[in-house]
Amino acid sequence: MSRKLLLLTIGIYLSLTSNMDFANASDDIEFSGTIALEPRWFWDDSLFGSDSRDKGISNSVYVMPEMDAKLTENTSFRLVGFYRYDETDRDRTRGDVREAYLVHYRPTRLGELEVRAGLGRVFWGATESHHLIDIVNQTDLVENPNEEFKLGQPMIHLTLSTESGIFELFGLPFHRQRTFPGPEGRLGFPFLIDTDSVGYESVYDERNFDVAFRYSHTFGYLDAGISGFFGTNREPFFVPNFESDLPLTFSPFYTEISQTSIDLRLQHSGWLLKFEGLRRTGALNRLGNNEDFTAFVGGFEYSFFSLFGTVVDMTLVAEWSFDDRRERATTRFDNDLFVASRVSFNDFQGTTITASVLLGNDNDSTIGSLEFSRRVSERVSVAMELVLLNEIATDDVLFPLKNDSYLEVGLTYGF
Amino acid sequence: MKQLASFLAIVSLLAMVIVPSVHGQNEEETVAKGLEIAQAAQDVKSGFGNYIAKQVMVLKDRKGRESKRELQVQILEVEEQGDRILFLFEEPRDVRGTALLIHSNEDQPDDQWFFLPATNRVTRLNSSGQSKSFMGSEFSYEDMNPPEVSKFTYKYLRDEPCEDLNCTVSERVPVSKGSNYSRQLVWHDDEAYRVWKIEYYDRRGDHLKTLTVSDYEQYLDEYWFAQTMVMTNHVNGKSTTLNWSDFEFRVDLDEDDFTQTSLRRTR
Repeated sequence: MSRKLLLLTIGIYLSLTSNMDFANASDDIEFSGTIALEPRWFWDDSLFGSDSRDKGISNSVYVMPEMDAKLTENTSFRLVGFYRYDETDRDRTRGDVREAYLVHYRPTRLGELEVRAGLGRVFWGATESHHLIDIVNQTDLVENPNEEFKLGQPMIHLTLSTESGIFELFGLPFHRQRTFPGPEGRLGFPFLIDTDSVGYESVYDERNFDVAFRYSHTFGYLDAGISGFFGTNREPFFVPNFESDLPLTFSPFYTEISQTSIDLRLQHSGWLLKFEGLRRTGALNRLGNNEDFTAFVGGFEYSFFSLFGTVVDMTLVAEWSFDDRRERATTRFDNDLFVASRVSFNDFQGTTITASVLLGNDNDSTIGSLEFSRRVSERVSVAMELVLLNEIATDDVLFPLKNDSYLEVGLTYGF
Repeated sequence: MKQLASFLAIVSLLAMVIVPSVHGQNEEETVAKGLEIAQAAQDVKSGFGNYIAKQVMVLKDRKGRESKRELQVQILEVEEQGDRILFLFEEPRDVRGTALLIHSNEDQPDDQWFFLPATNRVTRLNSSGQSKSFMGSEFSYEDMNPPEVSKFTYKYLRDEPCEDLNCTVSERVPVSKGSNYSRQLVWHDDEAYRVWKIEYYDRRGDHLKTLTVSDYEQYLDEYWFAQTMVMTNHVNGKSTTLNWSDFEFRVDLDEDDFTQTSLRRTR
């Protein structure tokens, strides 16, 4: 899939660059992108796996070219490619089309109608600690364990913006598999995942036509949304392949689910209150049994501006996440408290530092992270990410990553 | 609108002639005159409909080191409500594609949303952060927002020459408790109510910043827009020069171009 997509991107890219006539002014086409060097340093040997998971520095580099073309006054095309080379993890060396869509909009009697078609990225949600209800795009887990990176999702996306709110409808004709670190890579599983022998509950396999809707509106200082998703789960269950040769491998299995969710952001005199909640049916729990569940994450954000008479701002975030499956939950966020502080120095270099900690209420797990970013020049910026995983309890879903604390130093160049 | 403006101009000029300018003014008169000037300045500015323009900011620190910001701004007037403003960030590279949407509200805090291109996420900003620095410059978010008349109380202070013109100097006090300022002094010329200078006083009453405005040009045969604004911070010794250019008025923009949906389309 990813190779086909990569070839498709290159094809579209070349045909657009070689045939500039169709948009006769170069103003209407814009090329840009980023190149980044992202070495990671792991100072402990992995708990499981091969020698390549031993301590040391692992180099990695990615390129992300972007193209924006304005085809008519109300129509544009956007293309974002992505390719990463990773020194140690063959499964992290890969390409993807992050975005490749046409967007067209026009006024109608009911309001403005926008149509998007192609590979797109849709974000649903409100909170900071994790993105519970964000389900349209598949997680690119091999990219980063924080689940913030997503694969491009094939879709037709209709948006009607009216006086009484924004109505959205999604047709999702193709399911993309979650990516995982490979057997040589860090932050991986203690067992081998065979993504070539994937299983689906739907008889149409990855071609099940998923649908989703969303309604959102602003009521004074409250932004609220209701969303629904009906189709193939983005989160797999792992089934052991007992028939295959040793070593034992596991195959991802994706069930059909229904998810309804709400998300809220309320601003009140210096406070931002945030909430996401969902009900999901049809998913398998940690034991592999079908279990419907309810989960939520909510909390506040409070900012101190111009700290001590300087231009420095500080924002405090506290969020509680809960999953009523508790110890049978498939995620880290079964009953956890997240506390973070973000300091923006508002200097020439746009320096920011974010420190966060995720505390388990049901076990003694603690995950810490420290992020630092700063511009070096107009085009170059540096970002550091320290992730501390060594305080993870044995019964935690993330226990296999206990020795995978790391420091990543990223150097990004924008062109 | 223009007639009202000239009417108000005549009234205030008459007021200046009739009321002996020095000692005779009482509190009520200075308050009324201050409001009159602010209203007149607002009136001569309104009616442009919408415009887009380019902004280049040059940030300079105490040692003279410089840093540049580039953005496009789109502004739409909405009747009976505050303006709609969209900032599209272009330079430096790492913030390219980021956009800020402001729905200015007449007598309550503004609504602000940020668009983050990396995740296609629209997120609400805490608008109590009026004192927050805009892109690391000496302009705060508060300074970048249009000064709606209802956001201040006013008092006329004195007349003073400015450039080749005569200016009125008025004091305005922000209504919002979240403002970073205790008061501001504003220099308006008599001719067209253009702002030439603003002095900003912090909550302790100290003189924090001075804005000087220059290079006015007239657009649509009616509206005066400045090309150069320099904000000097007297406390930290830094300054920011904001250059406006490439104005285009009455382009194809309406309220649909200033929504959370259109914000996602900004790149």
